[in-house]
Amino acid sequence: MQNPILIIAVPLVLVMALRFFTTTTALERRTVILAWLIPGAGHFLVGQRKRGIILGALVIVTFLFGMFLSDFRNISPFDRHPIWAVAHLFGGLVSMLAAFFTRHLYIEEMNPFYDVGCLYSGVAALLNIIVAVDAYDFAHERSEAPAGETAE
Amino acid sequence: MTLWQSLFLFLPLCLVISIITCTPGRRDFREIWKQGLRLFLVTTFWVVAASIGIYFLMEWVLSL
Repeated sequence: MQNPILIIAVPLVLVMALRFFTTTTALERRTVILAWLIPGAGHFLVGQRKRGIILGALVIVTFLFGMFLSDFRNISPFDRHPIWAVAHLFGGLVSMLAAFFTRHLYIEEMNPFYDVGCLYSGVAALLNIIVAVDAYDFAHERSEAPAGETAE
Repeated sequence: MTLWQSLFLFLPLCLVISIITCTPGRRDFREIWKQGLRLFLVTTFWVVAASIGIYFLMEWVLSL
């Protein structure tokens, strides 16, 4: 199961990244990368602090609640759940830190909420794409605005 | 996991998804909340309605 997912996901991500880096401005690139790394942080770069705090908090709290439901054992880079691991890629630093700090935990007993926890964390990481798109929208608006004008 | 647990775990996730998916393209947060809540209510209604429908359909299929 792991190899087909990697064969499809990795080239797709590379092509999308190549297109992104060749067709966007520096502000848009910085905004999207920051938004990917820390949910909501991209909005700070374009002056939308309140929006960034609310959206970032929604994503991070949902992600952490999912970890809590599954006893902090649901985040792992491809060894437990390849499909959820692809979703977790979009969680940026949150996913990376979660995987790092829970790497020594193993599933030892049955948890009825484990799958729901996986769903929560996976969906939260995927929702970060929408948050990043929203931040990109503001950055794009700023990039197109004449000098001196801002989106806010 | 009981039906009530499933339902109460589904609702907050559905609310978060509804609010965040309403965000792009909307500037006013009041409008985002309004649209998000509307989407949440509509989605919840259809999920519950479909679940009830599938329940009775399966009950009928199993009784054949």
